[in-house]
Amino acid sequence: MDGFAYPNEIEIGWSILIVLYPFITGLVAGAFVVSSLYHVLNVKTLKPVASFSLVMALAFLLVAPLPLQAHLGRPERAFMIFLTPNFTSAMAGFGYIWLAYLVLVLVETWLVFRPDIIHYAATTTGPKRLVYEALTLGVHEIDEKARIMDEKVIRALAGIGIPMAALLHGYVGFLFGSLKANPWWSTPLMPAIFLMSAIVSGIALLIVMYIATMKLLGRPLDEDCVTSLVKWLLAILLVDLALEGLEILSMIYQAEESWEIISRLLTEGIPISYFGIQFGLGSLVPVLLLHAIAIGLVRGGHRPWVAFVAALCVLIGVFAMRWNVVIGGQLLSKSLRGLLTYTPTLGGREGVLAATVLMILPFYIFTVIVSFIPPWGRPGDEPDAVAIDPGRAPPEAVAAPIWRAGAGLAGGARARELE
Amino acid sequence: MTHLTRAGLLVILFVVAFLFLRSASANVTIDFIGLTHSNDTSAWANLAVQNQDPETCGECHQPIGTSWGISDHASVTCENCHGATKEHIELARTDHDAPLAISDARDLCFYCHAELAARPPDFPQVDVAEHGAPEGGEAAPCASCHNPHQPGIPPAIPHEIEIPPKCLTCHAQGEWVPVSDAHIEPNNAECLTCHRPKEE
Amino acid sequence: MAISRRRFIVLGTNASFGGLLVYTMRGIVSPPSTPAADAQAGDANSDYRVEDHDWAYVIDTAKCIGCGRCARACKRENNISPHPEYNRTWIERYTFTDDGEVHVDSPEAGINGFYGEELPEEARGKKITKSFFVPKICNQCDVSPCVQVCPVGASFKTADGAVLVHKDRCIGCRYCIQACPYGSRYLDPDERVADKCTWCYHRITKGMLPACVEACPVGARIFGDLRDPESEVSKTLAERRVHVLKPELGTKPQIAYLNLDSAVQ
Repeated sequence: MDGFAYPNEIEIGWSILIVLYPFITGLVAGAFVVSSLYHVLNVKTLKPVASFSLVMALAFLLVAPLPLQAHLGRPERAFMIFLTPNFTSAMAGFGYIWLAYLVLVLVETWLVFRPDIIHYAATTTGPKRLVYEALTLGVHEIDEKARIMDEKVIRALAGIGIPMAALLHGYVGFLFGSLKANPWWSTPLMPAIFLMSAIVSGIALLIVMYIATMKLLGRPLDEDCVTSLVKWLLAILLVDLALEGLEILSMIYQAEESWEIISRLLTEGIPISYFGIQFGLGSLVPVLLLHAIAIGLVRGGHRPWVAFVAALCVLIGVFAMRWNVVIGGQLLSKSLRGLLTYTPTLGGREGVLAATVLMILPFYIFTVIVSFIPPWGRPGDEPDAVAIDPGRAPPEAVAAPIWRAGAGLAGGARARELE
Repeated sequence: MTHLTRAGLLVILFVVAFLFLRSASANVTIDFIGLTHSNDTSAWANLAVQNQDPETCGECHQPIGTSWGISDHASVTCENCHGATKEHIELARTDHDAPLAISDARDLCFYCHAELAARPPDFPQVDVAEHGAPEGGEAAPCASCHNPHQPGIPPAIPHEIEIPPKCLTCHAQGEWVPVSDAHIEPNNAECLTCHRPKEE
Repeated sequence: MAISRRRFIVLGTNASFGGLLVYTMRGIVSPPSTPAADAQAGDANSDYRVEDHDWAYVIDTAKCIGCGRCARACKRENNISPHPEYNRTWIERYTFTDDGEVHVDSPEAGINGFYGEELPEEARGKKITKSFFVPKICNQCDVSPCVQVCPVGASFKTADGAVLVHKDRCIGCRYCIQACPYGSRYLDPDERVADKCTWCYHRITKGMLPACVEACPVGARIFGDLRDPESEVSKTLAERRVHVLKPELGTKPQIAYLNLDSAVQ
C-alpha cells in the first residue's frame, strides 16, 4: 500500500475472475454481432463465419456466468439473483438478460443448423444419432416453405439479438460506470466503451479462431471474409479508441479532485498494462497492422498471418483494458489518498488456475459443439476437396495454396442450404 | 411449422418452470422486492449483548464501583481496561471463582495518556520516556502511584501504614495532603478501600 | 389469444397461491436466530417499535484521543474477525506538516490506539503544524448506494435509520463493498457475506448505547434518538455546526461530524 486507504479496502474484493467476466461476455456480444451482420445487414462477405461465430457466441455464453458464480462468497445462493432480484441493482438484471440471451442464441443456432441436424439424424448411428434425433424435436421434414420461414425467424432473432448483445454488454459497462463511489469507474462513457471493446474483442477472437481452425483442419480460408473482418475490426477499434481517449482526456482536462490519484494510478499503479498493453500492444500495433491490410500493403499470402497477429494483440489489449478497469479501480483508494496492490493467487477458487480453466472451457465447449455440427459444412460434401487433393487444384491455387484457393470456396458454411 | 411450435413450447415450458420456482420462493420476495426498506429487524435485535454495562459490574464490585463512578474515569467503562467480562460474570454467578486478569503494563494507560501530537492538548497526557521513570532506572507501573479508579487524586507517596490505619491523623482537612471535599464523612476504616499508598 | 390469457391467469393464480401458502407458513417457521443468542441476553426487546425511533450519530473529532477503545469494543461486541482489514469502525490520524503535506494513517485500523505507532514515513522528522484523529463508521446513508446495488435485496434501510445486511440472503457478490464511497463494508471472512456497522442494533433496541459510544472515554461519539428533542444528539444537531463526509455524492449520510477538517475524505 502506498499512501492511505480505508482499512477495509486492503482486501481487494473483485479478483481476476471479475476481470474474466466482462472479457468473456464481451466476446459473446462481439461474436454475435458478426453473425448478425450477415443475417440482418446482409454483409455477404461474412457468410463463411456467420454460423461459426454463432457457435462461438454460444460456447462463450454458456461459460459467461461461471466466473461470477465461482467468485461469489456464497456460490450456493447464486440462484437468488433470479428468484429475488432487487431491480434497483444493475447486477440483478444480469440473470434475466443472460438467460433471455441464452434462449435466443440457442434457438437461433438450432434453426441455423436444423438442415444439418436433420441430415445427421438420418445418416449417423449409435448414441450420436440419439443426440441428433432429440435435436430435431421429432420433425424431419424440411420443405421450401419451412426453410423460408426459418430464414425469417433467424433474421428476426438476429435482429433482436443485436440490441440484446448491446444490452448484455452495455449493462456490464453500466455496472461499473454507475458507481459514483469510484472516480475511475464513474463515467457515462463506460457502457459505450465496454460495448465497443466487446465487439472489437469478439471480431478479433473470430479472426483468430477462424484462421486457426481452418489451418488446423487444412481447410481453405476465405480471403474476402478475413479482409472484411479486418475492416470491421479496424473501424470499430478506432471508435473504441476514440471513446477511451475521450474518457481519459476529459478526466485530464476537468482535473477534478480525483484526478491526482487517477494520474498516480496510471503512472505508478498500472502503467504497463495501461500504456504498454492496452494502448501500445493492444491498440497502436493492431491499428497499424490492420491498416496495412486494409490499404493493401500486405501481400496475399501474409495477410492471414498479419491479421492473426493483429487480432491476437487486440485480444490481449482488451483483456488488459478489463484488467485496468476492474483491478485498477480497486487499486485506487476511495479516500483518494493512496494506491493498493493486487497480486492474484495461483490456486484457490479465485486464483489464476481457476481463471485459466474458465478461459479454456469455452474453447472446449466450442470443440464439442463443432464435433456435432461443424459450421464449415458436412463431412463428405466439402467443396474444398482441393485442399486434400492438390492435384485437382487450379494452378493459381497451387501458387498460393490455402489463401487463394479458399476464395469463394469455403462458403460451405451456408452453401449447403442451397442444396 | 411443427418444429417452430415445438421449439416455442419448449421455451414456454422453460419460462413456466422458472416462474414456478420464483413463486415458490415468494416468502422472500414479498418482503424484499424493491426493498430498500424493511421493518422486520428481529434478526438483528435478537443478537446477544456481549459488552457489559458498568452497572452490571457494580452489582458485585462495591464500593469501588461507586468511587469509580464519581471519579474522572467515570466515562471509562470497566471493560475498556479489564477486557471482556461476559465469561467472568457468568462464572462468578455460578461458582464465584472467576479471575479476571488485567495487565499492569504502562501501555494500558498509554493507550489514552501517552503524549501524541494528534491528541487534544487539554487532554492529560505524559511523555512516556520521562514520566515515572527514574533516570536510568526501569519505569514503574502507573498504578504504583496512580489509582486508576480515582485518577484525580494526587499520586500516592510510599509510606508505611499503621495497623489499624489512622490516615486522617495526617490527611484530615487542613492537614498535609488533605482529604478531598468530595468525601462524605471520611473515616479511617474505609480509606484503604480506595487509596493505596505505594508499598515498599 | 384466449389460451394464452387463460394460461396467464392460471399461472398468476398458481404463483399467488404458492406465495400465499409459503407466506402463511412464515409464522410457523421459527424466527431467525443466531447461535450466539442465549436465552438471558439474546431476547429482543418486545416493546421496541421500529417506527417510533429515528437514530442519529454525531462524532466530535476535536474530542477524540485516538485510544482505539471504540474499535476494540466493536470487535468484541459484534464478534468480528481480529484481522485489521475487517472493521465496522476505525480511527484515522491526520498529520499536517510544515511543507503543506497531509499524511493519513490508521495502523491496524486504530484498534490498538496510536501510542507507539510511528507516523507515516513521509511525515517523520518534519515539523507538525496540526494533527487530529477522525473516527469513522458506516454513515447509514439515507440514500444508500449499497442498498441500491444489492442484487438480491439483502441490504436494506430500516425505518429507524439503520442500513442492515440480511446474512441469510447475501450472496457475497461484493457489489455493495464497491459501491460504498466510505469503505464501510467488508466481506465477513467466516460467513463469506457482506458485513457492516449496525449501530449495534441489538443494543439500541434494548435501550443501550452502541458499543463504540459506550466505550468512548471522552464523549467523542454521541448517539441518540431524534424523536426525543431533549437527547444530546438532537440538541447537538440543532445547535451546533456540523458537516458530513462526501456530501457531494448525494448519499445523505446520517453520521454528522463536529469540527471536521476539509482534508478529511
